[in-house]
Amino acid sequence: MSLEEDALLLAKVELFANVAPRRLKLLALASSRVLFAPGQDLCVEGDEGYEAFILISGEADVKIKTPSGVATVARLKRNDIVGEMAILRDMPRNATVTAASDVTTLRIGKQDFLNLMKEFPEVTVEVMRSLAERLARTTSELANARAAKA
Amino acid sequence: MSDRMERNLFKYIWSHSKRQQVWILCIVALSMPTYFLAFDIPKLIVNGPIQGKGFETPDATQSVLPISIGNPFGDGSLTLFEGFELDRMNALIALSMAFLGYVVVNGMFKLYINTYKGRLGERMLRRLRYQLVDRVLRFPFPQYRRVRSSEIATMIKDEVDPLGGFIGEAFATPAFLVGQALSALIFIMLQSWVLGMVTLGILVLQTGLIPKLRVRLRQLALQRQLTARDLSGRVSEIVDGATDIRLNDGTNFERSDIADRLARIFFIRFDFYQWKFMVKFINNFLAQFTPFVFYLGGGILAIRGSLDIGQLVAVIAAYKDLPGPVKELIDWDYQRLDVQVKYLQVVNAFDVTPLAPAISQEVKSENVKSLVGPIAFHQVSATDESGKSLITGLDLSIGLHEEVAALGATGDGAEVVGELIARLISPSAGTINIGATALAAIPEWHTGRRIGYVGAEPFFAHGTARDALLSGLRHAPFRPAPEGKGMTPLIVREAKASGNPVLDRHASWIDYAAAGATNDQDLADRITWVLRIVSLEEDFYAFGLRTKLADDTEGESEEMFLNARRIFLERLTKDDNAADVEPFDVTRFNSQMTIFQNLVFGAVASTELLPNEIPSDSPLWKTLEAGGLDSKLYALGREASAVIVDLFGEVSDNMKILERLDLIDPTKLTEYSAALGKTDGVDFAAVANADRQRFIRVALSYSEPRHRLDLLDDDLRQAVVDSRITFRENLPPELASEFSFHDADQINPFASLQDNILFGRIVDGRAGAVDRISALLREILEELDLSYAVLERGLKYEIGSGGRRLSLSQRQQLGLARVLLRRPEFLIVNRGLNALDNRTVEKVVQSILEIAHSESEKFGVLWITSTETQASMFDRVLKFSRGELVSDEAVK
Repeated sequence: MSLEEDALLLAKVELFANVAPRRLKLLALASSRVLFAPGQDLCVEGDEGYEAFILISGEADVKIKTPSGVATVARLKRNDIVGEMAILRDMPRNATVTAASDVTTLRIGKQDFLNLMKEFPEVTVEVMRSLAERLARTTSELANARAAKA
Repeated sequence: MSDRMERNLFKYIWSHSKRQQVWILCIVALSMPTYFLAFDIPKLIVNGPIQGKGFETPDATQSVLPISIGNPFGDGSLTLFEGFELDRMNALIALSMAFLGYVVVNGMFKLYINTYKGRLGERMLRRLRYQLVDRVLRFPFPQYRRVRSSEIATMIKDEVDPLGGFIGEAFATPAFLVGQALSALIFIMLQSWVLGMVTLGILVLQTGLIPKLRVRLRQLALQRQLTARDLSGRVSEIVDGATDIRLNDGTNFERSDIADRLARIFFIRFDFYQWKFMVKFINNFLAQFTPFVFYLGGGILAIRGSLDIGQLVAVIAAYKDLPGPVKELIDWDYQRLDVQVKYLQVVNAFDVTPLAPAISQEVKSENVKSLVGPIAFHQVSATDESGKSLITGLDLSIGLHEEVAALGATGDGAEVVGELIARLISPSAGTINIGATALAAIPEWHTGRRIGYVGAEPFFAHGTARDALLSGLRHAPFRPAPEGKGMTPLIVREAKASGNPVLDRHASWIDYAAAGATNDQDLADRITWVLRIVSLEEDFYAFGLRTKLADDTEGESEEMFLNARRIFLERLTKDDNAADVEPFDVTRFNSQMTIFQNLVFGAVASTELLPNEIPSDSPLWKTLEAGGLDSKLYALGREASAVIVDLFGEVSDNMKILERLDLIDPTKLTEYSAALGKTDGVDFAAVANADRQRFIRVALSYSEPRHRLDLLDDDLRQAVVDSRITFRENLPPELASEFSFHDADQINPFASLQDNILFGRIVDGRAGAVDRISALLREILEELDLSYAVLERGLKYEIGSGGRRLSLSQRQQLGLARVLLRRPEFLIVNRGLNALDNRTVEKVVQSILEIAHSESEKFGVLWITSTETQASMFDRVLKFSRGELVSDEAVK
């Protein structure tokens, strides 16, 4: 679990695809590895978010509270990033992420992530792209839900 | 008594010390005769017994020391005592003895007068200072935002200081000097009417002109004082705001601002000196002008024969005694004006209205009764200092035991309701009552105990966290000071003489009853309880665990902590969490620790022995040479530095990351870069000592999980472990006591409590490990009844001035805990936890509501917030928008 390895891992994350390797190494240096056992929460809905996680190995479930109970809305895999939303807006986490197996993550602090976005507009654009995708998905899901209700 | 300050210094002095001033005047008058007689005696001794005048025959006698009252310039005196008839030798002895007697008597008078004047001045100074602080405590609340604290402090400390010296002299000195000057003048008048008139004329000119010239001096003195006070205000602003100034690259503006102020002060002071010496010159000239007139005018009169030469000589001799007192009188007058200006300055700053009436802050050592009735707002409006309307026409009634949330963004008026009830601002229109009483009429000693207010920026004085918590309970001296520590009769007498209160600082001021406690144990329980409510218990618990065991072990036996260590190890393995902690094992490398910590395998007494602080000439370097460890560490440190320098460059814009790594000082990157170049390809033996040490320091701070440069191999790990024993053995004797090594059967006094109980380190990067271990630790300490001991250690944490060593959220939690500890009847929290995350706040609100509902505690709450989820936890929600109450709903 060395810095070199982590930097290579980061390069595989879509978000950081265009960032120079040296910068990724720096980001890796500022980050730390965190291991989660199955069933442990990476983040909890409603908590303040100070960090994002990149999954290095293992899988995790994204769950949200709905009026009819907790629903799993997505499964995260290797190289997925989680928690960047709470960093972007100073608002609580909007979902709970629970490890589905043994999960190894790279934890990136809020300030380091924001600094990276400032330095590399590519990263920002990438973040925007992923946000837009999610929005589109949410919108269509909402439309489907309404249609089902009506 | 009116609350305005007396603007005339003399009236102020007179009203507080007229009896003493009259007394000192009498004593001065009484001392005069012996004072003048003492001058006369040497002449009598020389002329009489020594030169033999009147003792021409061996058995001649003379009457010595007669006492008579009469006209010194003419005949017809009244003889009270004929004197002693003595021969020459006895007359010499008698007169010399009389001289000695006068000297002693004069000395005693002087001693008494000076002591008396000094004490009088000091008492008045004490009175004035006390009154000023007393007024500060009674200022209307908005005033605190207007004044700069350091200026107030400077005025009370420095600017009133000269007043003390002057007050003792205020009446006695001028009386004495005027008496002296008048007698000399009258004597001249009697000798020559013409010369007397000339003298009088010049005197009038002098006393008229000089003070006029000094008007400018006074103005300059005033400016000097104002600019100096301003300077001290600015300097304290720089100190307080230093962080922000430097983080915004504002230091040079501050430099220029200070230079500008210093320039202004310089020119004022220089101008002052120019005038001062000019006035001095004119004054001296006028004083010497009079003798000139005597010599020339008197001389002409004498030559023409219209003035007796004897008279002229007598006039000139008498004039000798005139300039002295006149000069001193002018000086006194100058001092008077100066002091008066200073006094007026102080009065202007402190004569603020309306002051809270003294009766509102009376000392009440009995329990105060409960408030009665709802808090009722009737058509209340309030404006800020600029006159902007904050809230208009508010009608509202809140029951004293009701739980209400006031919801609204900042500036929408919700917070105004809290500030109005706390009386931080006064309504500009309308009335606020609590029951049948106007809120404004309820004394502070009542509201300050029954109503609790917590804002977003609570203040704490310098001290421990425990002091901060208890500061809400210090209402009155409830229990007398311990034997021998109380106020002595002398201290009480002096306090009364200076108009100071007779309140014993060393008494027990803690209001146990208000905290719902009867003894220290109860109070400890209450403290734990409130800390738990505000979610701060864990923080202080953690502080406690971080304290070194050596810091304070009173009442705790080391055996108990060793016991905790044994139980911890058992549970850890039983609960299958053994992987969460990497134990201290003298035969194994502990990857959670730095290389230095691994090498020492123990703890150090002072920070001076940490890798980055070890002096370059320390004998510790020598100990690293054993087994060639130094060259291995050098290689590691050099490699780590190379990676860091490569990543960050010589001038890094990622200083924060570098700082956090705690490996290389970010400001020294260039030095490392240069050292890397210099040592490139150089054999270790040939490397300069400074460069060796530089890289070895880096290696000593290195830890693999933290820095992840993949530099540690098993070979090096083993080498470090092997060096542990040689390190101990080779330790120079003078440093032996500075290290304390880990031992499974011993407590390590230099290590933290946590290290001592865990006897290992929590493994980095295992999610939840810290929480799991903390919980286990907690459980064990609870079982062993050591919890409060740990918490108490944590509460001894020095929170720094204003609580600055705590985070903002911790300060807010502590502020709330302080108020909860005194169990208010109505609690106002005005965005008092806005630095905390929502989940924690909701947890706190939940706990507070539970207690507020409980029969035993029962209190009302006004929770002011902008967060709807918080507000929705309350029975009743008031919504504010643009300064108006827009909805008032009972939520079920």
